[in-house]
Amino acid sequence: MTSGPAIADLQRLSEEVARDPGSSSFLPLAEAYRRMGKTQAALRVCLRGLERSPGHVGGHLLLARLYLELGDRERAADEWAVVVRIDPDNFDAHRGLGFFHLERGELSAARRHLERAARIRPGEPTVREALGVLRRRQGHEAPRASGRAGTNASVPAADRAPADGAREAGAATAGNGASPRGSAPPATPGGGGKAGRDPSRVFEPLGAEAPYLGGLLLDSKGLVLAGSFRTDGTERGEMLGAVIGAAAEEAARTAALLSIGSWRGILLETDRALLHVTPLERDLLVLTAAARGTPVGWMLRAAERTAKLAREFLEGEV
Amino acid sequence: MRRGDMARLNEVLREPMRVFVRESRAHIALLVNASGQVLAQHGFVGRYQVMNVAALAAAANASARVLADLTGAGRWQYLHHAGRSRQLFLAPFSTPSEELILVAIFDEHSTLGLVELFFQRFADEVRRLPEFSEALPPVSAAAFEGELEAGLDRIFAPQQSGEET
Amino acid sequence: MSDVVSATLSRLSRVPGVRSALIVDAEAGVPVASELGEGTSGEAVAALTASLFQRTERAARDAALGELGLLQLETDEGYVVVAGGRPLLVVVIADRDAQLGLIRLETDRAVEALR
Repeated sequence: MTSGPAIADLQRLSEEVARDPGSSSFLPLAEAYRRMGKTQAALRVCLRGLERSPGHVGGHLLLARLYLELGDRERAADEWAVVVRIDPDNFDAHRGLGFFHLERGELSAARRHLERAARIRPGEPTVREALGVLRRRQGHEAPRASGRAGTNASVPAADRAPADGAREAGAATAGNGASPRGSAPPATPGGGGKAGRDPSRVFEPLGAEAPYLGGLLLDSKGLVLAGSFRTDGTERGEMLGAVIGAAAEEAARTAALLSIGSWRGILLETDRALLHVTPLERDLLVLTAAARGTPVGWMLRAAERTAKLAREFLEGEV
Repeated sequence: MRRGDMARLNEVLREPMRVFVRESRAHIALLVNASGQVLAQHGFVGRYQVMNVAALAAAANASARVLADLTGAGRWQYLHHAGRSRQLFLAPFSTPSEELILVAIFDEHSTLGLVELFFQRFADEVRRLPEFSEALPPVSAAAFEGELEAGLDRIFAPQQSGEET
Repeated sequence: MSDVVSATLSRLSRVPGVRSALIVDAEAGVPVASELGEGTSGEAVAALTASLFQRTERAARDAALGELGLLQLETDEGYVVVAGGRPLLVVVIADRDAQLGLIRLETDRAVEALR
């Protein structure tokens, strides 16, 4: 399967690294192990080498690749982030981060890195395609008739930020409330567009902001009145509405029984997302979802804005 | 306790029992007096099961009390058995008229802390009921069997059919 | 372990605005250790916050959102922060004007210390 160095080369590299752990031979040795399919061995060599040479850009890039192969995208992103600190114009790191953020629906961050990568290597096809996906998601251009569902053909395998590529079914990634439904008008912050007439798109004005994942307006039975919430390309609003109602009830009970006043909101941090639940009048609930790692202060403000849009919807202004 | 008393007790205890079960999320609950007479229940489907649990609960309470006395532990607050999928909570409490015992069985939808919290509230609620706020005259052994049966008749009246166990 | 618990509670309860801090057995819903404000029932706080965390945890899992790490309940009178998982939860009750960022930081530290 591999076309790496011969066994003799491998031995030579191993001896060099054993003699001098700080030797730059750790990189070709780790790469050799990687090509042989010995990912864990490659990881060990790479980590050990980077302990001695923490500023080694190639080492961090290889480590990112290894993490991707192991399915750990977040660690891969961490390594790319280290690289851009050491080498701000590193194309591979910016591209990797661009795909990573695009998959998570963090469109502003994705745009920042992809545009930087495009400036470093103008015309590079994978970045160009990713920027196209990004722009369509942000509604800044009409969708293409070819509607490429994001083939991976032009994306280097090891550099696909998600292991399965930064596909246009980045609709398959954590949704941000912006619907990939083709002819949607551009979402305008403040709800100025016509998007709000469709109940599922009431919160779309917030969708342009990464790391927003979705918003829901729920009735007292946990049924969805408006909004949308998608993860991994699947609409999960109904399910989320059904289960979050029980949590909200429990929160209300807790506040009452502890005599600490009426509840005003619950913030939940899970290992995949941040959620905020706000009670509205008439036993309605508003739910705001954002990507994991979102600053809490931002989240609380976003929740206020979601509640405002919900009230406008209820009053028929949207 | 007379037949009429049992009927009334069952009625007045229905709501506190319902609230206890709802708030604590217990699965099954039973209230008995120290003699093993059933005063209220939730979640049982058969008289036989209720009678057995009631008798055993009274016995467990009595033996635990003796154990506490012998070991100088004083009055015990509750007995807790943690099973693999279900847990049992058994707690005595005093009212002016008599000592009562609550038995509750719960699963992973509740916790010991929650059951205990709402048991305390239940006990306070029961103590405030007029039916329990005065000492009762002693009951003869002959009347005891009759009252036990009467209590069970009331509990398994038609409106309680369909409850799970 | 008890030194860690005491030290953890002590740090938490010294944060300005914290009224009560508890370490709670998540499964049983009973307090393991606590520093309580006046009039606060540790048993009630432990039972109710453990139940809230448990229900919310279940909801998050059912909605494919992963494991719940922290829950922050805001009320008219303040905040209740519950963090951790099994077997122990860290619970903090704080006033409305408390420095929430600091409380969250100390809560995270407490969770780590108790792991």
